[in-house]
Amino acid sequence: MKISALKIKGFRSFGPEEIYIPINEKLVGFIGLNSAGKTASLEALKKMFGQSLADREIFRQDFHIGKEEQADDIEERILSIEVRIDFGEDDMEEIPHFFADMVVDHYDDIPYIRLRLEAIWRKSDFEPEGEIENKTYYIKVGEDTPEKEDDKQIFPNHFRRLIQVLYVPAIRRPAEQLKYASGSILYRVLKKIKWDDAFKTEFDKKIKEINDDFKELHEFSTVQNSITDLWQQFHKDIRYQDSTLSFAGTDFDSILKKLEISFSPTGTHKSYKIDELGEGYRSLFYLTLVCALLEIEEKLADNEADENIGINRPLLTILAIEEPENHIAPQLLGRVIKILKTIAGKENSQVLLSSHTPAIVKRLDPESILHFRITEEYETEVNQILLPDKKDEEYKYVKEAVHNYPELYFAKLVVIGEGDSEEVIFNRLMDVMKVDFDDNIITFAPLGHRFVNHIWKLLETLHIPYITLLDLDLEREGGGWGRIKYALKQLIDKGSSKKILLKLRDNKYLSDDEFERMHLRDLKKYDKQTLEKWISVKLNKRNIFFSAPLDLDFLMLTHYPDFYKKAIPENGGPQIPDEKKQNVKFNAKLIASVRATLKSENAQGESYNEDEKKLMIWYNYHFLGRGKPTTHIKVLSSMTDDAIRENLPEVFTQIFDRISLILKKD
Amino acid sequence: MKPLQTNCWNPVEGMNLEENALLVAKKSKNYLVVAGPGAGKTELLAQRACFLLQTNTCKFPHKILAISFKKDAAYNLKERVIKRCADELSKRFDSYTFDSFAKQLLDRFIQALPDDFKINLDYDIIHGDQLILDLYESENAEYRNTTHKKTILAFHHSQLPFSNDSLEDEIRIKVWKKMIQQSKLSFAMIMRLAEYIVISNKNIRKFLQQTYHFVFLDEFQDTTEIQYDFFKSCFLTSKSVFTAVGDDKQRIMIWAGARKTIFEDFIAETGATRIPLTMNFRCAPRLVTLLNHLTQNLLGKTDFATPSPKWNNNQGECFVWFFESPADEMEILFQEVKKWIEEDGIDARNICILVKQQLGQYAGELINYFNQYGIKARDENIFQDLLSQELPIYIINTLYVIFQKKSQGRKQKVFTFLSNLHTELEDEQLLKLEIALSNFIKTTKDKYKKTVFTDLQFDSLIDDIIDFAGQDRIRVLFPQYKNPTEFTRVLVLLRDEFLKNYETVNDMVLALDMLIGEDTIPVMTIHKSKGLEYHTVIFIGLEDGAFWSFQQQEDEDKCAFFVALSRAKERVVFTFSQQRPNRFGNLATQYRDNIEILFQELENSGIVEMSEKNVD
Repeated sequence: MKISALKIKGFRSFGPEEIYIPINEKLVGFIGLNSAGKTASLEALKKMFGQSLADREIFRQDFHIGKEEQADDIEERILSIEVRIDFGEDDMEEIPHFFADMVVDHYDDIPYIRLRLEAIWRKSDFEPEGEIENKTYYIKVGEDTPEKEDDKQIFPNHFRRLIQVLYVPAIRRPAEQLKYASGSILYRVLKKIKWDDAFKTEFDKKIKEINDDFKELHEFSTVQNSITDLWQQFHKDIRYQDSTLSFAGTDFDSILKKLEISFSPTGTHKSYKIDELGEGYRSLFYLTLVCALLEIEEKLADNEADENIGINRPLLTILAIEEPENHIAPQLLGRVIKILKTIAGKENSQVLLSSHTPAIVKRLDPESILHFRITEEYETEVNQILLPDKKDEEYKYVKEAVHNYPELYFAKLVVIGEGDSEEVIFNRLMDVMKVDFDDNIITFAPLGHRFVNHIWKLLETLHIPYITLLDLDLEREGGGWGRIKYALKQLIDKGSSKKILLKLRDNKYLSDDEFERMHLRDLKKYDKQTLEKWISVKLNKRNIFFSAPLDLDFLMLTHYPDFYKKAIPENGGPQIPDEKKQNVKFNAKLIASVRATLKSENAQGESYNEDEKKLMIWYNYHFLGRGKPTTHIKVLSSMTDDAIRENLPEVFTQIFDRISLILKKD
Repeated sequence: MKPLQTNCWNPVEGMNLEENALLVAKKSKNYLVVAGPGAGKTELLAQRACFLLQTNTCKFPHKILAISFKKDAAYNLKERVIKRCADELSKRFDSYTFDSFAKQLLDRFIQALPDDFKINLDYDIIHGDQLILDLYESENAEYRNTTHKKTILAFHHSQLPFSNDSLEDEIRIKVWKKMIQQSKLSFAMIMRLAEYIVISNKNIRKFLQQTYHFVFLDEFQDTTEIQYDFFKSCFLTSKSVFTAVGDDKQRIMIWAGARKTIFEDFIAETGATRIPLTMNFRCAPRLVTLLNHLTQNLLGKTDFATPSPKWNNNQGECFVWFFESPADEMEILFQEVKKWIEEDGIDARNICILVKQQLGQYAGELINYFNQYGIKARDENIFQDLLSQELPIYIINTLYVIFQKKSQGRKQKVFTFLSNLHTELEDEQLLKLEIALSNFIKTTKDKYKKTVFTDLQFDSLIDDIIDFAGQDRIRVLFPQYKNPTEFTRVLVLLRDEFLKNYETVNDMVLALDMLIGEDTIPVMTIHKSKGLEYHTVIFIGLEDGAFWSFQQQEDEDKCAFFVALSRAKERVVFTFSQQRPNRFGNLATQYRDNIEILFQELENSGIVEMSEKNVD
């Protein structure tokens, strides 16, 4: 059995509309910025399945208060936490517990159960914190059926033992879990041992021996006798006349309480106790302990069935772990995830973790990630990561992309560019334009490839605004009008109004047929100006910008030609025949460069002016032959901020204006 | 709880099980247990449940499903298991009637029905066949008028899905559609729909089979075609182990559709072993001898019973008393019964008056007469329904606790009922519930201390009691009350019966005693007496008139006669009156030509004393 959905309403940051959190994998990561509701979700599970009453207690502050609401004006509030539990082929032994409470939605459905905690808070004249009532129910109708009051059946308390939540808060105190105290992990591990009577008798005998040995010590008995004598002089109550000096708490449980774990060798004269371990190791050890508990439960379950008819182990253990990255060096994170995956891999367990570290996120499958954010209403919203169909090529690409750029999930704004050049240049421009990417949580992602539309969709579902800078690739295969058409098409796909997007002047519209053929447009008939108009009017407004006319490398080259020409090793640089003296050779070089730059044997470079064509020789030298980013790094480091600002390509001004606008709106 | 070793297990409460019974109780094998009256068939099932649970042979958390015919039998079996095993274990023993098992499956998985069959969850249950027949009439009068009623009903209730090959099929589809539209179902239709869910949704079927590894079938000889289909669709493909118990000498439900070949079919289809039990723990030796005589000479069978050694061999008596008129019959029976109660100290509850059918016609006057002269007697039919249901029992127990000083046992039962409704409570909270109950009893007692109850006051008292438990909680735990009509019906019935008593005695506790039938002779038909036992049984009207269909269904009527006789532990009285009111209330002459064989065999047995009785 497995929790397959969590539904939360009115709990902390969760607003009055129920939020559906699908849980499709055994290991699931809740990610998002701070206070987006990740911890609240994990706590919700604890409120439902916690071991102790204290774990499950609901407080006034657990009830959601809306953005505009005054806490004092509220008379009554409800919250609910629901889980859906599904059963698979391997869960046959678990069915009998729940069959009587299962429901279905449709013909041929697999029966499942619904469990819901409902709590109500009421203002009270007697209790300053108000009165809180809470109950857990089986919901005895399917999720698709309207529900009536008598469809809720109280969830029997003893069934709680079937499902356990091990909640690991962000601050780990393994020392507490290693004490033999009710509820701790060590306590639960040791409780599994069946101490037989012979052992207990032997144990008592040994303890008595020790006490007796002490009493036989001459010095010891002197002390004891003095105390007793003096004591008797001071009072006459026969009830307390004897006083005995011995080791207190020698019963079995008290001795167990003194158990502790120590680590050696340590390089010092003594072994370490758990508190003396570094924080990182403490965290790791804590997880190790959880793993051990699950394993012991599994191993002992069969024996216990011989001993006891009843629930001998939980059918489902949910490890809810907050920020597993805490206190752990990045190089150990891999190991943490490995432990968590091992736990999740066990038949009867599920792991839910919360994190706001890309280092953790990149180690999770995008399918198992749920993205949390806070809406303008200060309410939690949860989204799944949408991936293209598994069979498609896009799937691998997008999966790879989010894997490599986990920062995306945590960004307030994403700038998407085509490649490494963009990243280098943007990094510098941030300084120049005085925008701090880190401070404003802007992420740059070089994901502007041909599947950029999937990245758009992804960011759209996560409600993260984004700006895209694409290459125009004028006169390259698929470039120019082709790029415009692609961008328009994607905008329409994600729901932009086709009517507005394809509207021309004078209340005319581009017909479907014309739109379909847009990429075939002849640059002579539809010149550069028309094209630029489409870009500025239709696309820039929608945060899509172009490095025109070719790409960013070319754009930089044309704006700062002197700097790029200087960026050559000694005696290096392209071999350029003299334009006048070796005109034929020069022309040949020029034509070859144009063809190479535009990546076509037939390229003419008609839409490029002479200066631009000439710079294509340099383009070839710098950007087709060797590593592009290094050139940019070299050039940019040679330039002062002023020099850059002096001839900054306009598209950057536009983009940075847009960035400030978006950040301000937020 | 530690599981018992299978070889250490002994029948609970030191009950003596005969060898075969012990075998059945302990083996994980399909059995058809065939046994006569008093063999302890129900007890065997209870013991087997204990064995399976206490030894963990029915491995935790798997469950046992027991299907009985009558509500009281299902209730009774569950009570026995609760009493014999720990509470914790008996939670895994589910006891249903065929109807209630089918209904809760349908209600819970109603969404799993294909769209054609989607029916409103608040559907009404129709009793009787008239509506169905009328719909066939309006759909196709010719078909209705040329086809026998029984054929139509059997066809209507045949297995789903529909076939669509003939005109009849079309009519049937239309009638079903109409009934689904109007939210009206017969119990048989409910069972067919539940069966259809199980057939068509393999997951539900698999989960169901996975839940119940052991299935018990009580009173198996009475299983109908539809019930047997339902059972097979649910479990035939499973690994579950079946235990069916029945007696073909008590096969009296053929008229209600019981499948005649059920024993043979069951053995053929489940590979069950037929195993006889020979003890008769109920009847005294001379009655066992009589039953054996009838087994051989009336029913033509050879499975004879042995009486329990606890009796003396001369115990057990049977009489046939001939009267001139019902008035004589009434008076003499009254004198006799009075003597038994007053002189022999037999509890009125332990004397039963049986009739074949038409209870009012055969015993109505007699009940009035008895009551008038100080022996309480009543038609038990309606009370069987009322007193085997959790809700009325809870209310009655609570009323006793409120109005009677010493009723600790009942208070415990009330508390158990409440804690079953409040399964979310921890021990400490349960303590609070117990305190709350005590407070409730106290305040209610004060509130109604001086009340003279009319329907209004009684209603408000019942409301208080129900509200204390929580109406929603009751509805959700006992799905039969989910339908508001049924909920109200039960409460109104309880109220009316209570008030009837209260108006005569003007005392709460006495009225309650009457309601539960304290010191009252139960009067019922043979069919309602199945599975019950009494010290003395008086059968009124061993006459052709009562056995009016003897010539058409000789076997079944002989079985009914056998059932009536075998209810008695020590004494049976059959009466014959030369006059008997017909259904218009006029006295008509009675004969015994048709059923002469019954008299003949009673006489041949040498046990029965026949005499004419006159008022001196």
